[in-house]
Amino acid sequence: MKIKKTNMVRKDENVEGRQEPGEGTPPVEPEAVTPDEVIQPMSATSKEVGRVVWPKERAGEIRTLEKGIPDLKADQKKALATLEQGQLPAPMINHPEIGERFKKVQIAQLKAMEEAFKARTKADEMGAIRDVSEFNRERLKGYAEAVGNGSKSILTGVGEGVGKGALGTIKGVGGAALWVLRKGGKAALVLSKDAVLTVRDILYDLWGTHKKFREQYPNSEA
Amino acid sequence: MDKLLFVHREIKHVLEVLDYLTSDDRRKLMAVIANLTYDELVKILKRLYKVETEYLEFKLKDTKDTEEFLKKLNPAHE
Repeated sequence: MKIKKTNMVRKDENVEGRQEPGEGTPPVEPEAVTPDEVIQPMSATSKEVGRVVWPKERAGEIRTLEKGIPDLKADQKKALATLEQGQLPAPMINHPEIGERFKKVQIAQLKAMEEAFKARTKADEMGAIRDVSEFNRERLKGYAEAVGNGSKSILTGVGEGVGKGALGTIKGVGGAALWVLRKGGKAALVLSKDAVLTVRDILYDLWGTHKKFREQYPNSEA
Repeated sequence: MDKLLFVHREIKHVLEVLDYLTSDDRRKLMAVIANLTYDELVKILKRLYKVETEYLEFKLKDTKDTEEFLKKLNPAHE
């Protein structure tokens, strides 16, 4: 990750005094300079401290994604009109680029969720497990439905073999979440080759904590 | 660029956005449509555009919902 330079002055810049988790006293987090800035805590996966980024960068990126969809629709409409007349359309929006932008935001969110979850479990382990598990379970159900609808449409319009293959990834809403995780998240949150490992690792961790919660609270609806 | 080639490429690009399809799925699909006529391909592209925007709209909502959840999960990160 790049480190953005800021004019921020931190109270504690002694990063050498920080210890790896598990060694002696717990690591001391640097204080935020202003209330609305976020300091990225040091974790086993990140050695960068004091970088103010995630929420603000992500907010900007999400706004870009939001503006991009109406533009994409307009582009598609123009392209189809031209193609239906047998002509080549003017230069268009790069579809894979839009897909990559979504992937970037989703990976950042998954990492933020993991970090936030780890911070919460120190104070409220079962509450954090319940909240994250419930959220991700509902989320995966949503993906199962969205993917199912998309796959059916492809099945109807394009190729029966491929459509069935895609539909085969959906084992029913109830089982989809677990299936998705066991298959490395292919049906939901499938990302570029380099990113899959990161997403899958995080999802496995979250699923593992959900399983632990369910074992301890078997009558819970979460 | 040849218009047939253009449509093939455009279909391939849209399929890449549908990240729930594996590369094997995409390859099979491209093989299935390899010998279709131009008009048939444009019809397929029209359907795929719809699938693409519906999927992206879903992902946008999911992204926003996740952002709200992250704020609640750890208010210190807001």
